[in-house]
Amino acid sequence: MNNNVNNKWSALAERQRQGLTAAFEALAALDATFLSSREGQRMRPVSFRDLVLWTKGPPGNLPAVYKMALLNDQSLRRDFDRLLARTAEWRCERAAAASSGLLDIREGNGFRLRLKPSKGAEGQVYVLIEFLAGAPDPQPLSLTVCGPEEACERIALPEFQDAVAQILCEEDSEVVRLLRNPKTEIFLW
Amino acid sequence: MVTLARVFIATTEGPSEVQHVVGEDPDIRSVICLNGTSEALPVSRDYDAFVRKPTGVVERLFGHPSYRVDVSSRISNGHSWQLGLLVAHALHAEGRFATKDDSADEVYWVTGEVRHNLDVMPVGHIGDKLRQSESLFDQLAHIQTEVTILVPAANLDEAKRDFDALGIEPKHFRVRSIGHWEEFALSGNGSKSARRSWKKVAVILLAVSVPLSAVAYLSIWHGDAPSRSVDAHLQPPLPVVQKPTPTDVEESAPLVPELRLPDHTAIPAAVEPPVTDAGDDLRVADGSRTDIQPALVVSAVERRAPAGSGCGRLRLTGVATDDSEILPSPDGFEIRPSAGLCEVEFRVTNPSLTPRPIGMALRSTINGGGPQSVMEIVPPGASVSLKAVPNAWAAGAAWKATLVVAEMPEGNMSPERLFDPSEKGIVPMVFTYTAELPAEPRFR
Repeated sequence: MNNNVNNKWSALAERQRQGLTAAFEALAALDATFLSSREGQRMRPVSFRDLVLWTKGPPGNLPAVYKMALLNDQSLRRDFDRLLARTAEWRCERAAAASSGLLDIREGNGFRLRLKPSKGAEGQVYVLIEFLAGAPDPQPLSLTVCGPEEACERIALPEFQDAVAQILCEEDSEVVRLLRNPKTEIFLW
Repeated sequence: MVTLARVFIATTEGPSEVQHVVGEDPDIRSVICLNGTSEALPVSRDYDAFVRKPTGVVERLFGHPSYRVDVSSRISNGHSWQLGLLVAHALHAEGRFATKDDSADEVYWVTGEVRHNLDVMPVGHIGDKLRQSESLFDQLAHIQTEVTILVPAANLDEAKRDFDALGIEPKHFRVRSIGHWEEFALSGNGSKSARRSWKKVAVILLAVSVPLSAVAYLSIWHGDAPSRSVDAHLQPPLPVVQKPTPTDVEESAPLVPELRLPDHTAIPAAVEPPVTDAGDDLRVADGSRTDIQPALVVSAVERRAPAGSGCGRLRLTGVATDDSEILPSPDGFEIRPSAGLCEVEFRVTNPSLTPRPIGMALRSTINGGGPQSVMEIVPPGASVSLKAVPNAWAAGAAWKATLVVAEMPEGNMSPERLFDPSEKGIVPMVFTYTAELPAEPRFR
């Protein structure tokens, strides 16, 4: 069977991605509507425990229902901020007010994060996380970047080599967009 | 005149074409990516060590410490890819490497391990690798491309015997071996004589023949072609089930769609799946072409850790999972317990007696990134599947997935057609799958 017809997300053209994204968002919205309108069934509100599980669970973006809950519940939002701050062993705060435009370097406490375009593939970028005083022990396993409007993305980190972890990402991915945004905070744990 | 050469790395899963070799900045670690995507293969770490001094040989031979290489298919975590990539680097350094988009005058099919002292060490599974490349060899023989099968010296006899056993016209093939890298470097690595230009065209045609064959096959199936007979080289190869060999096959990647034949050969039992239209639930008994087809069979195979074991431990030790196949109602799958759930494989099986083009897309709240999708012409009784795999160490958390399935009418096999409202005749079926935590937490 022809392997070329198997399409990974990153292999799709932008128009194809947009089509699929729009379709899935529509399906998710329909799905949520359908669930909430089911007789005798109500969607369980997002709890702090859900947020804790998200920080400990598999990498991925913050689900839309969680974002909605954080927007609507300031107390939950404050708890979530505290949770991230306490969970993370390394943190990079928002860039200084004078920072403008998109960033390619972020300086955290003890680490530096750099974004470097790939020469080998247009539209892809290397994310390099470098610990300045040698690799910590234990090493962080995930990176979370949270920004305004409750956007939060968490990715798994590969094993560090010589105190550097390298991840290859799509330039237009959510995580790269957030890492470049000076208003976001970065957490490693 | 400079002649260009294409390199295929032999694996037990089939040949993997080296598509690009590009130097990166020295502060970047070398990576092997899949098919131009940002997916770095697990073997990248070993590749970086193979490139960079002091352990690496590529920097020593060619002077640059970091590269990005793209390959067409996954390659294993063993070391038999080393000789193939070294050949690619040598050709790249000479300006003779044919990228994915170049036409090529000749082809190297390579397997072998390279030591730090440049000795070329023997590898296993030569016969499997040759057999898995038979379709490629057939096509190269058909277009009369010069092919060098390059193996370690210690594997030469085995390679000759196993290649002969394939029964391929040997006129344009030579089986060659080296025991040390210098033998390749000193040999001029292949003919530099100018080839007839039509061969270049033929290699380009080879690159597009597989997609064309799929479309041709689809056309035939939809009854638009005058007959079912087509040239042999245009026949799409049927999927082959191969048991991975433990020593040379990469651990299966959970997010990659895979085509698999079911363990049983009988047509799966009808399970009252949702139907695409009123007539779909009629069964075809004789396999003849008809517009009324049995409904596709959708299922979810849940794989759970046995009692006393976790998913992480399970993957490390290879203990068998407790598997159960779940069938959906028209509303979707019933809500399932997330406890102990290591992975869910969503399957669509073709229950009819003839091939059918099937599109499938999956998005879950686990497996970060975008949705997965797959388009296949699925043979009778075979399945196409996509997997949702929670993080091994955090399995048990709640998650949810949406599955979209449709039979694709004639046309290109682009997944966006699944959702294109202008498409006529595509009726997507949507299923939801929810894995939930127990109602009461185990610990307070």
